[in-house]
Amino acid sequence: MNTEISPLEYARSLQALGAHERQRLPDWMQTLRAQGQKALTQAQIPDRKLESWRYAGAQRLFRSYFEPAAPLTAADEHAATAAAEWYTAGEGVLRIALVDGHLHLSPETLARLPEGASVRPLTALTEGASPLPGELVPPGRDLFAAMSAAGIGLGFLLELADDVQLSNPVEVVYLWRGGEGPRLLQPRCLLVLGRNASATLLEQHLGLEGAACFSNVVSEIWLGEGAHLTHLQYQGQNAASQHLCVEALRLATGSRYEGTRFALGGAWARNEIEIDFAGEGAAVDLAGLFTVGKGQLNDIQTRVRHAVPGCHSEVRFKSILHGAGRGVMDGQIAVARDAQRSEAHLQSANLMLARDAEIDARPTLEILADDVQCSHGASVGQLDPLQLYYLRSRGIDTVTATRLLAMGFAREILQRNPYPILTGRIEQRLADALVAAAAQEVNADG
Amino acid sequence: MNLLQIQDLHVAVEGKPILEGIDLSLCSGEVHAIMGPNGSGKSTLAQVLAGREGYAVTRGTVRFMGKDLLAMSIEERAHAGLFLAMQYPVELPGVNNVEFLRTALNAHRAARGEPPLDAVSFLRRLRGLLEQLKLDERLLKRDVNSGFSGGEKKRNEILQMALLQPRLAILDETDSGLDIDALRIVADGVNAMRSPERGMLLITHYQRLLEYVRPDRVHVLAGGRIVRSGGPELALELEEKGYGWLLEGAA
Repeated sequence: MNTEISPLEYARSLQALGAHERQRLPDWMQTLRAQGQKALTQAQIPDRKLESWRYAGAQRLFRSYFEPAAPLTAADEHAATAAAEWYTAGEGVLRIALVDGHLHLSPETLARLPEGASVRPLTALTEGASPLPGELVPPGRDLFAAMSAAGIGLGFLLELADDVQLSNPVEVVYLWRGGEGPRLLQPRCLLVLGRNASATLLEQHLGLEGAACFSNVVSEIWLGEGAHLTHLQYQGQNAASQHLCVEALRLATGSRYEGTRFALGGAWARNEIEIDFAGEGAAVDLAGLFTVGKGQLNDIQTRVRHAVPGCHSEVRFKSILHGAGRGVMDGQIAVARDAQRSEAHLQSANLMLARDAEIDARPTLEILADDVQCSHGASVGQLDPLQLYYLRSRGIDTVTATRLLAMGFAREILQRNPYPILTGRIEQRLADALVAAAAQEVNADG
Repeated sequence: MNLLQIQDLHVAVEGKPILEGIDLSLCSGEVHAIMGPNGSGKSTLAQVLAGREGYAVTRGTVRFMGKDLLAMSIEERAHAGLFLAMQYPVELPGVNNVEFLRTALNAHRAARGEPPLDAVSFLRRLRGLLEQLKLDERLLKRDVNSGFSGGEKKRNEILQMALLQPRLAILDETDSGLDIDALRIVADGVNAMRSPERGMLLITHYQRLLEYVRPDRVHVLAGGRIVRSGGPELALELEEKGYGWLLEGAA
């Protein structure tokens, strides 16, 4: 089907999907689904009239129809094996796989969890648990949140009790192997760290070559007092896929979040990261690298809200545009009237390697308090011809020289990732893209 | 063997003539010095030989080991054995020096049809060169020329030259801005590279470097032309009398 479908049609298909499962769903999940379905009937496809969609609307997503993947059937035996080859953090890690819409928690991982740590499917959450999915990203937020709520099922909860510190990283692989036609995948993740708990999360969103999917991911992250989360995310979807990832974080007093995003894939990709400071003295250090190739949209949206005094946020994104596509970095910082002694910085640096690429970088500040340290800035640049000349004069061809310089530009972000396998994957992907872009350039000129 | 044969070379930059008829011939094993006042076209000659864009050759020919140098791309010139130690080495933030050096060496090897050198063998070779050139190993951990002092940048150029083993090395004011210790290191590096297989073109404003590296020939460039050529004694004469007497003669 190539015509645009209405959100209502989505709602209907999601409802049909949910019907036969309803009996075994926990009450809260049934409630959330109902709320999502209701919200769907009112939601619109976000278009460019909306402020946060002004550079790239979502209409393009609805040009093809994505059959919802059944989220709650049992994982097949190959799922874990398929995910295994993508793990990057080595042995000893806690592994969670979400393959083709199936959650796989290996017995080894479950056995390795220390006391006070738990990983469970969302369906195992019982009524009355707190927090529940949907509190940070409510169904009424927008069309995609409504879809996610209406189809909720697939996903996991990672919960650390007070003072639990995970020494090994938790590695999550979201993988789509492909199937009959394009699929809608709507995994959700709920991360709850108790007081002074700490963890490292390494997350990858992947699709095998040629397997089209629309992943509508929602992550809700709660950091308790003094908790510390290090969070790396790699989005390496294939060129046939659409990817939306909405992450909402709430930070209690004195907690720290250190986040790194590598967003390289997808035909249409968008990351929305919302950060809310709920207690004083909390800190966020978020940095990312995203790339844009031919025909690709990569859209980064960050919202940092300083509602309480004395918090510190650093947001720094870099992009490499290597093909005729479009990049968006729309970052906002809001400092409320009472949020004195806030420190907030926002930077967007963009490297244009392609003549016909487009980047919209819009860092904005809204400051209502008066005792703050805030800054924001954006830059767009090209390769320095002198640097290219220097490398070529050492016998290095233009494509390799471009790769070295682009990696140099991205180095400070790449260095935030300590896992060499993942670095290799990112560098290889970028190198392949640059070689392909150079070949296209030659064809276009010739 | 004749390495470099420049005939009647005219070069313009942004439409303005800079070189107006250079003739120069350099054979394997020889070290030539090109001296001259500021603005005489010395650096233009170096850049045009390396192939930098924006330098228009309006007349003349340059043959390098018998081939038409001007028809070759920048990297082809490097692969053929031409190396320019730059007056202002370029900073490459984020590009690790070892990765840069290895990529450069392997590009040369690939052009010769040789397999790339693996990381271990490469580092062994690099360490040997550092020792030989009395260079600090810490240079390797840093980004290429990034935040280097003037002396460190010039030493890094010498390291590249030693690694790539060019047939013709052009050193563009490599001696400028160096203290006496750095100058010794650079000069020792140049002397160690002297070989019957290799030619060198030292571009310098001062005679100072030539106290350490004795050239076979000295050329004086002024107003876009070579106005005088001679043996090493010409450099001493210039040190004594300055360039004025030659410029009057040329006019």
